[in-house]
Amino acid sequence: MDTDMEFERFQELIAAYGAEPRRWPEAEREQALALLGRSPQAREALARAHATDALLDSVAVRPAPLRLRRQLLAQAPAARPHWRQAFTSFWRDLGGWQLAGPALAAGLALGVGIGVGLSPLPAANGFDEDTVFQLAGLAPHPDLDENWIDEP
Amino acid sequence: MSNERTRPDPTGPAPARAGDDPDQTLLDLIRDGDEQAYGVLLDRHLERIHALAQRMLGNAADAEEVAQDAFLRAWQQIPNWQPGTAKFSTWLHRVAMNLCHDALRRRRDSRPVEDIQPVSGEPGPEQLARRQDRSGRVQAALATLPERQREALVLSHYQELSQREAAAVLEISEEALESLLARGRRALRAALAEELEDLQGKGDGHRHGI
Repeated sequence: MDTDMEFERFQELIAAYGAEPRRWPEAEREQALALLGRSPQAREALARAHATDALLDSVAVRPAPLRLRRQLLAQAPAARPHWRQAFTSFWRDLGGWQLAGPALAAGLALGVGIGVGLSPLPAANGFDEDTVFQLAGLAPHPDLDENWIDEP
Repeated sequence: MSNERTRPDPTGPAPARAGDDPDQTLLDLIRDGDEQAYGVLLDRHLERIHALAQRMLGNAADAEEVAQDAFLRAWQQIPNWQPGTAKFSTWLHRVAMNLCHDALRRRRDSRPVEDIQPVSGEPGPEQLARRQDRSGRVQAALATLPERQREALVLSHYQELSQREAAAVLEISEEALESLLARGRRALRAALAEELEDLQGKGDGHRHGI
C-alpha cells in the first residue's frame, strides 16, 4: 500500500521537475496528484512552479533545415546489403534452420555423395553460416570484409 | 575552465530494458538494407536532437553541426547495434550531448564571444542579456548555468526524457539527476527574478524555491 506523499517531498518534486505531472517520476506521480487534490498549499506551490516552466518553455528553437535531412540521407550507407545480411534475410524467409536447414543438408549430402563418394556429413543444425556458404559455393569475395559498407 | 567529469564512451552499454526499444524495428530494417527506414529514423529523432543542441549551445550553426555529426555516427554504429544493451534514443542523446561538450570546449578555446550567433539571429550574447525578448533572456540565463545543470534541464524539461533515461544519458543516479535539476531551476529563478515577477504578478512576494 502506497503511503501518502508529504508536502515536503512534493516541494522537492516540483522544485526539480516542474509543474507538469508528465515530468514527475512515474513511481511518485499518483501520490503527488493525490496530495494536490487535498492540499491547497500544494496547489499554491504548483502555481509558482508553473511560472518557472513558462520561462523555460519560452525559449524558441528553429526547426532543422530540410537540407540537413537531405544531406544525412545522402550520407546514409547504401541500401545494398552486405552478402551476409542478404543471406540472413533470405534464410529467414525460407524458415531458417528449422525448415530449410534439413532440406539443404539433404541436397548437399546427395550432391557430395555423388560427386566425391560417400562420407559422413554434419547434421544441419551443426552448420554455421560460413560452412553453408562454403558448401554452397557462396563464399565471399576475398576483398570483402565484415565491415564493408559501400561508400556514397 | 577544465571539465572535471570523465567523458563516457557513447558507444558503450547503458542501463536499458531489453526488448523495450521503440526503434528496434527500424534498426533491424536498416541493417536489412531498407533505405526508407533511414528516413523514418531521421523523422523520428532529427528535430529533437537539433533542438537539444540549440538549447545546449544557443547557436543555430553549431547545433546543425552537432545534429549532423550525431547522425553520421549513428549510420556507422547501426550495423553493429546490439539489441538490449541500450535504447537507441538514449545512445543518440548521449552522443549529441558529448558533441555539444566538444563544441562548447572549442568555443571557449578559440572563438571570440561576439562571434557567437544566437538561435534567434540577434548578434552577440552581451546584447542577449539586454534584449527585450524573453526567449533571448532565458536562453542567456541557461547559458550561464553549469554545464551539468543545463544538461539535466535540457534532457528532462525539453527532451522530456524519463528520469531513468536522462540519468542514463548523463551516467548518474536518478537522485543525482534530481539534485542537478533542482539546482538548475533555482539558479534560473535567481537569474530571471524580474521575468518571474512579470509572470506571477507583482503582488506575490513569496520565493519558496519552486
